[in-house]
Amino acid sequence: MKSIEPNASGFLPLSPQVFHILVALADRDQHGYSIMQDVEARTGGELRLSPGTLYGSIKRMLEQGLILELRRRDRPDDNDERRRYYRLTPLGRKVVKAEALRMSELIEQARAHGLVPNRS
Amino acid sequence: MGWSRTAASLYRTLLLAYPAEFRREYGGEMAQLFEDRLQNEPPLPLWFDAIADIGMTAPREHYYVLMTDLRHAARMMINAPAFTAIALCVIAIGIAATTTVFSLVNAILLRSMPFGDAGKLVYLWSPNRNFKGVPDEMGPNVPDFYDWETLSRSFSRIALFRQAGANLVSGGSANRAGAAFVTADFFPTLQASPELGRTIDSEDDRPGKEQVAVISDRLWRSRFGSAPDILGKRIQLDRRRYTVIGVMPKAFGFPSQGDVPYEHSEGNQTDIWLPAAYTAAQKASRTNFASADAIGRLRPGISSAKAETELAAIEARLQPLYPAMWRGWSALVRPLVLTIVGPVQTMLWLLLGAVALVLLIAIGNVASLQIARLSGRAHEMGIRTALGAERARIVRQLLTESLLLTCIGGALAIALSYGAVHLLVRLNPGEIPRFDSATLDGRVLLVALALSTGAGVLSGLAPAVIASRVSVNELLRHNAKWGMVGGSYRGRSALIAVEVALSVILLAGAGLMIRSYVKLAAVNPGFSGATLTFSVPLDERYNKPETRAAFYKNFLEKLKHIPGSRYAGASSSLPLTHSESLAFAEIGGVGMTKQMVEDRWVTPDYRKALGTPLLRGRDFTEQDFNKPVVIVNDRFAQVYFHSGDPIGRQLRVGIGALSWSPWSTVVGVIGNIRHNSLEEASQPQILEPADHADNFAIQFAGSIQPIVNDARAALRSLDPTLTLDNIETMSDRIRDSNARRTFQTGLLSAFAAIAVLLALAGLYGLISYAVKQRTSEIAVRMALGAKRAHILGLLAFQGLGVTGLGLLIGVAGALAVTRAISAWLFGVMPNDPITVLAVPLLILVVASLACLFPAWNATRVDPVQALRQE
Repeated sequence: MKSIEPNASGFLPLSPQVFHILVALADRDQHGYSIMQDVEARTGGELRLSPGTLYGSIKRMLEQGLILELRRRDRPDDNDERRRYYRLTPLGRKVVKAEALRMSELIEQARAHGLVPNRS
Repeated sequence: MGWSRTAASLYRTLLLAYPAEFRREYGGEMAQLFEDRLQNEPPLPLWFDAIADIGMTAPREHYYVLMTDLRHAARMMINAPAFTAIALCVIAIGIAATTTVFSLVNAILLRSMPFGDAGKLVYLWSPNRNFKGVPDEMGPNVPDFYDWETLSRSFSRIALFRQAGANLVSGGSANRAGAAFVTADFFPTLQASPELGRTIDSEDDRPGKEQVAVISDRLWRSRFGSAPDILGKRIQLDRRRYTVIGVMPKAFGFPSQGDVPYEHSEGNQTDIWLPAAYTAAQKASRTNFASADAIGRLRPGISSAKAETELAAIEARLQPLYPAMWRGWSALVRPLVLTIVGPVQTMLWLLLGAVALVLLIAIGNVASLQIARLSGRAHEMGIRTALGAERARIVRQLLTESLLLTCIGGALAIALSYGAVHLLVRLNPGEIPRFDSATLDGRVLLVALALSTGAGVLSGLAPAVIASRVSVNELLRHNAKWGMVGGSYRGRSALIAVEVALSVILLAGAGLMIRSYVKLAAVNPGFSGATLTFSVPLDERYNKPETRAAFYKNFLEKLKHIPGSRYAGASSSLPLTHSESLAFAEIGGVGMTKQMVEDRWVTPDYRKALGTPLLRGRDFTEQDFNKPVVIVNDRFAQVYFHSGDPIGRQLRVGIGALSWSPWSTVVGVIGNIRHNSLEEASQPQILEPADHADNFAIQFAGSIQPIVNDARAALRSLDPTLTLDNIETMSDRIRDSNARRTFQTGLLSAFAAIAVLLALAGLYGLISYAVKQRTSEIAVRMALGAKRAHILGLLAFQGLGVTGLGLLIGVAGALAVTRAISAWLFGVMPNDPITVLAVPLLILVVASLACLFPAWNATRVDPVQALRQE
């Protein structure tokens, strides 16, 4: 079994909001509103991040070094001048991976007890 | 679109709910996001969402800031243990002292009394202006009361009660218990309900039906072990048996000690209530004086003044029913609560005021300490400001630090105060109603919390303002600390000057109280402290005068023969026992006395037993009983016989012009006795010869306990169901009589001492700090050849300047404030020159020491070393 990095494990378990924000940033850099839309689309409208929750989480994720804010010149081409873009840091990537792994291990255990249907 | 712009700006306004830092960082984004959503989403649910979001997340962001600040503050406190320990001690003492005094105020003045709507309760008095020297607070004559009840319209109910003591007899031995005979409306008037059974009703309050008793919760617990079947039980009081019909709740003990002016209850509360059951004759007769205390409940909308006008008019109409020379009765209506707490109210507010000054000084000290510490943190502040922290953010951080400090101090204070309240209750001075019930209840804890928060804001404000005024440039320039030095030193000096001023005021107040106390201790009471006194109350088996006399004579004879008893005597009234008998006197060749004089019946050895000196003439002898002879005191001789020889003069005693005793010859003059309290001058007094009386005095040699035991044995041998009551030496009585003053003086002195210590500590800290700041300057001066004395003078002058300013303000304040306590002073004026001079002098001397010590250290600095460090 792959061991989880000690510095990443300190962040676990993640709240659903933080997890989804990290996942949203896994493929590409995004600004706040697109993160919101991304999360909402991916969860089929189950999880709607409110602006207060979104930016509160972003503030603390920045402080913890899970994400960083892009400088102007690093922004993607669809750059909207007024917006701030965020990117996953290597630590953030490790953390979201560790969380995904933790959850998949949980699923495996549940499956072993017949609580989750086997994949066909 | 116009409306969407309005919506966006409205949303921006709502964002003000977030902490400034958060708003600055993300406010723009959030507003932008809101505008984006406005394009795509229906407005109503969007607004609902937005408002709910702000309501949920803004407090959370504040919470995060608070936690960050608290963590930072805690780190700061741990990093400066000396500062933290001193500041915590100072603020804990300040808050604890205030909380403790407040718990007394709460118990005595604020907590509601165990009566329904106590504000409507009044005492009804019936003074007679013809009786000079008699207090106005006299209960009405019983027939007048019943006429008031019928004729008056101002009260929903009125009731009579009479305090008494009774021997509660069980198993062949007896205990004294405080009892009250009450009319049927007593409990309904007070709106007091029993916790068990019922109270006395009009069926019980009739002659022949009165063998029922309501008892207190205290008696129920202590004597009957909280027996659930207490109702219906029979108890024996003196020789009579009563059926217990009810138990009152724990808080109810009315009338308690101090509840009725000029009356002394047995024990500190009433434990047994019995029906008064006045007979028809008692309710009607205006020739046999019987009076009792009266209470009433005002009807809604009726003031006590209005009720008094009505009662006085009724009373005036009743006067013709009295024999001509006994008229002149009137009526007074006084609020009951105010009457009970009135005498201690001002004292308590005074103590609370004094302790508030102590708290202010403590807050000043903590503020001063924080300012001093701030200059050590100038660099930190500079860096934070340079990194973009707003002023408001720094103010918030400093206030949080201050609040954390004072709240921990407040928690310590509650622990301290818990101990202090217990100690005070144990040191109960007596005579203060409901003093025993002082506790740290919810209200007291709430006040402690408010004080802690208030102290945090007040003591954090000055440092925060100073810190926020300093520019980044200044802070980061060369030595990093100079930016704050000027402002903080001036700020601290002002604080210390105020502290000195406040402590001068407190010390002056305490000084005057102490001077009064010393003067009082020097007062000659007119009797010896080493006299044992007690009384022996009898029950109705001794109603016949001759049975009574025989019993007391026998008992006195036994007392005389107790080993160690030097003189034993008896009197109708002992000094400092709240009992009094007054009479008019007519003096041969002079006429009637203008005031009532003290009138006593005493046995021959009473004077010697009490230790009062004989100034002229002789004592009574056994043969004087029933002879027309009297003894007067020195005051009587001076007022009525002036310089002439009182021996051989004639006088007679009586109330009004009725019932004059026969003309009697003055055979002796004795020293003055302070009867009511040591603080009241002696009144003219007449002693008449008696062969018995119910209060005993024994002048004894050796230890007291064997004498008390022998006296008990002597009483038991005569009648085992009787008890010695109020056993106290005269020194005990002096101590009790001074108790309130001792308490007040002790507390004020303690507060003053704390205040002075705190102010001195502040002064010392200020000078040490100034010395530290000027180390290099001092080093340069010394290197350039300045004399040590010169440097010393320079620094001390700096400190004494602050002290002098404080003294000036303080003395002016003291002169204004001490006038407020003139009512409590004894033998000294509020502007007593000794106190007015001694207090500033004392402060000046100790302040000089507090300044000179750090200054002296400064002059011992090696200039080279000091300059190198710079």
